[in-house]
Amino acid sequence: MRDDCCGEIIAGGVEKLIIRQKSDGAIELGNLLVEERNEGKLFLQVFDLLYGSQISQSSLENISGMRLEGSGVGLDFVEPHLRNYVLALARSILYLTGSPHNPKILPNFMGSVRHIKKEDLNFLIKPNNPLYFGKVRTGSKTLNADVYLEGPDVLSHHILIPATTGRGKSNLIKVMLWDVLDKDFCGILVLDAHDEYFGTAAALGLRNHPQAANYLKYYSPRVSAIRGAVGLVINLRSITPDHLKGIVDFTETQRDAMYLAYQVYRENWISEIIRDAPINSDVEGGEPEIRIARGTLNVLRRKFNRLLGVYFDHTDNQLKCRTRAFSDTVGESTVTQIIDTLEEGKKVVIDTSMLEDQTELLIGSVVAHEILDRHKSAKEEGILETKPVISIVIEEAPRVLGDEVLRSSGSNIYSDIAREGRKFKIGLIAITQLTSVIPKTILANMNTKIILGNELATERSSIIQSASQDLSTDDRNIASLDKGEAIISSNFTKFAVPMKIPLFEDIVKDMKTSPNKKIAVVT
Amino acid sequence: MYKFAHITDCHLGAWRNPKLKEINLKAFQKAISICVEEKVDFIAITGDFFDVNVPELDHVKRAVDIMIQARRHGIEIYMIYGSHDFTASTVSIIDILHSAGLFIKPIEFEQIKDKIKLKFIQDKKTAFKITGLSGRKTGLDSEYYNLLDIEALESEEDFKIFLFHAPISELTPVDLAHGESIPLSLLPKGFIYYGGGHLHRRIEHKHDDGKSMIVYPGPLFGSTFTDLEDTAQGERRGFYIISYDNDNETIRANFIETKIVDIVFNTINVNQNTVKQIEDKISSMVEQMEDLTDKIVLIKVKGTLASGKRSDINFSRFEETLSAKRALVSFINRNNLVSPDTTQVKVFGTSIEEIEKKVIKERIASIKIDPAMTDEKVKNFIKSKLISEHGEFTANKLLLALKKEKIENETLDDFEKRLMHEAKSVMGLSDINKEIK
Repeated sequence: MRDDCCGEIIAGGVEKLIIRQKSDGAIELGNLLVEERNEGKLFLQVFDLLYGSQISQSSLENISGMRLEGSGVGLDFVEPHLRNYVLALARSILYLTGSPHNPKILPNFMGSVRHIKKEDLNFLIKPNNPLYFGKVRTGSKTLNADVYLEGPDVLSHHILIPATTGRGKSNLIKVMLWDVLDKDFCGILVLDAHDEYFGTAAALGLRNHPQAANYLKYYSPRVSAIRGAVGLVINLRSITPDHLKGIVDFTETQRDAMYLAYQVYRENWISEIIRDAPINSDVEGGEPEIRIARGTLNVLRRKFNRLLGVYFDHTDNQLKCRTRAFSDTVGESTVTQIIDTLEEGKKVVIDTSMLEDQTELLIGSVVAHEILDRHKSAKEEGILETKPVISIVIEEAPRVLGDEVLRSSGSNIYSDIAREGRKFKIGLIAITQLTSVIPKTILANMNTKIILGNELATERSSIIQSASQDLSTDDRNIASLDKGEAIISSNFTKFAVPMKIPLFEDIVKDMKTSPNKKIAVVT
Repeated sequence: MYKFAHITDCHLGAWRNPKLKEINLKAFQKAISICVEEKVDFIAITGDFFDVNVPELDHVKRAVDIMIQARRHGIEIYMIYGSHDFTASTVSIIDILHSAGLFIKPIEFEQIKDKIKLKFIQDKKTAFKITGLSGRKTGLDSEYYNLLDIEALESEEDFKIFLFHAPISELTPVDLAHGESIPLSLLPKGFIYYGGGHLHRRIEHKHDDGKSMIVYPGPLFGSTFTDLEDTAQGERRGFYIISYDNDNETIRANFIETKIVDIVFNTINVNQNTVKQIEDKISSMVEQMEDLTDKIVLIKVKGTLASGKRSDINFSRFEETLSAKRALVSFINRNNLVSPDTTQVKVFGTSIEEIEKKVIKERIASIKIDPAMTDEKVKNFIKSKLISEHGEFTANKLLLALKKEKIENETLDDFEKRLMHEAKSVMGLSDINKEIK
């Protein structure tokens, strides 16, 4: 018997192995165990725990009754460790014989198992373009083994982060972005609905990264308060009717009106609608034939007012924007600059906390359309390989990927990217509390899922059904995940890796202070 | 009421063609003459006064003669460096002219710990306080702006003017979007006027809820064919006279055009055309062009050739025809004419400079440090000079350094030494030698 043995396999089959825990074996739900064999190592994961006893149930009930009712003072079991014990239910998750592969054998009957050690995970090699997620976890303990996956593969095949509130979604995103911030294999666009990623004087954020000045660009409508931030102002000429597709509900008549306005006024179409310009299809002269009903134009104007915050101020005859996020005079190059920044492998955070939901999605849509167009052209020109993968972080993903919205408003740029983005090195990092409302066809394209704790059984069921590995026995595991604990299930991992996500604040505080910056100024 | 002129991006000496060079100087002469006529209190020049840091001396002389006219009328000139006429490694002609007292450089500063405290220079006539930051290499502008002692700048009282030579992200036109820029939030607040240079486009922007103005006048004439194409398509070239009413505390910007010649610009789109077809198209266009006397004529040919090479097209004969029609200067831009016989063009641009920058960017992106390399000093040197943005900067600067022409009366030996010195300086070879030793 090995000194480090924590149990023995006593029964079961491929789907469920039963392990008797050694009295001091301390097996926890989610523990990774190892059975050592001559040919290699078989990795097991515990998915349930229950009691076992050599004493019949009626005797146990009797003994308990005597104790409870005061007749069994001093009553105890002889050699209790032998008679009563814990049984762990586990399944094989990986067979390591030189290289890791899916297990197709049973562990040795009555074979001993031990807790996993860091050295057992030496096969987890840091990839060339590493994307960091956290450290391997066994039950509630964290091993000093990092979880890295090949960034471009994982990002272009989309990531889904399903979790309910307070389970550490934002922390996970910050940890991932922090590690990848100065790595130029990927550009990441974050639509930050809560303005929580960049950081403030009071809260640590990505701006505390030593390379933030070179690799991070922050756009915010509250620019005057934040030195170094770029004003989030998008010129109305950057928006086309296509950008609104699937983002905002329009009737067919309204859609036709928008396309006609675009045909007549090209990039000035929104300004002209807001200015109440006449819109007709006969632009070359002759008797203008008004094609758009006044009522339709009024509705469009109202919708743009609500969506973009833009209106025409008759006092000074100027187009104005309540949120300052849109303009007809400045911000012409904002979208281009964002995409250029992303294509340099940098990270862009857009603070959309002051904007309406749909406005945030529209800004993302404008940028995403342009990225997709640019990458499609790059593919045609044969230069896509020189481009970094671009990933877009989108919160509350069902707003654009939900079954209902896709059925009522049709596809949108986000669903297009989910379906075909990987061909063009564009991916999504979709965060959601409700996996169940995302169509299976889209979930199937999300090839990496970082599963955080979730108390909703229907949501767990959706996650399990769409996972890259068989997680059919992991329902309890997922339900019991504490804050910061996760399971990563991916086409790019050999097994669903339990992991612990470090606290972002700890990473920042642990960061070695960079040497004093030398400045040389020349007059 | 005070008024001052804001001129920028003169790029004197930019053109190889002597006629264009002369027009550029004439535009500057015109601007200064107007300043004298208008009796401006001072002139602010926001960088790229010369096209290179050490231009041909005859141009320097002409420029000095023109500036002296203003000085003789008691008009002070304040000038900052641009990205073209600045060099960290050698003395620029700007330094020499400044030492001669021709103008004032309002870019003095104090370095206090890790902050740069800019000093103000108070104009004697207007009492305006002027300061500024010169243009820097790509990617370094933000760093300098981040180091500014903002509190000191913003707490300074009286009317302040900030001169700078960098594009501002939020104000950059879409066709000039590619490239580094600084966000508006990095500009110090509380100045009445922000005079910008670098963008070859005229931009007026009311800042800080209309309390101040950010203005880019754009070049007086232009230094590239793209500039001239923009001019032909309606971009007005000139400078600003800014009036400030002390009583009402209002500022007004008045654009003054410095047009010297008319520019005619036409585009010929070709799609899988043969050499003969393209020649016919150009010929037909040239034939139809009338009234070209003393005009600059630009023709852009873009698209794809069905077969053959660009050099198979006899462009010079069309230029001769245009010359015979008394065009002052003619140029046929074929940078965007793609030939199937040449290596596939992977980048597209509207000017040679833009294409060069894009090619460099693409090539530099593929350079990685060998993971097997162990010497940290060499690794650091490579990081700081040869890869990413630093690599792009080095390559662009090297290209610029090696483009320099031999100065009149300069011996070949001296010319070679000068180029070698500049190239080594750009590459930082002396630094690495010191570091490694």
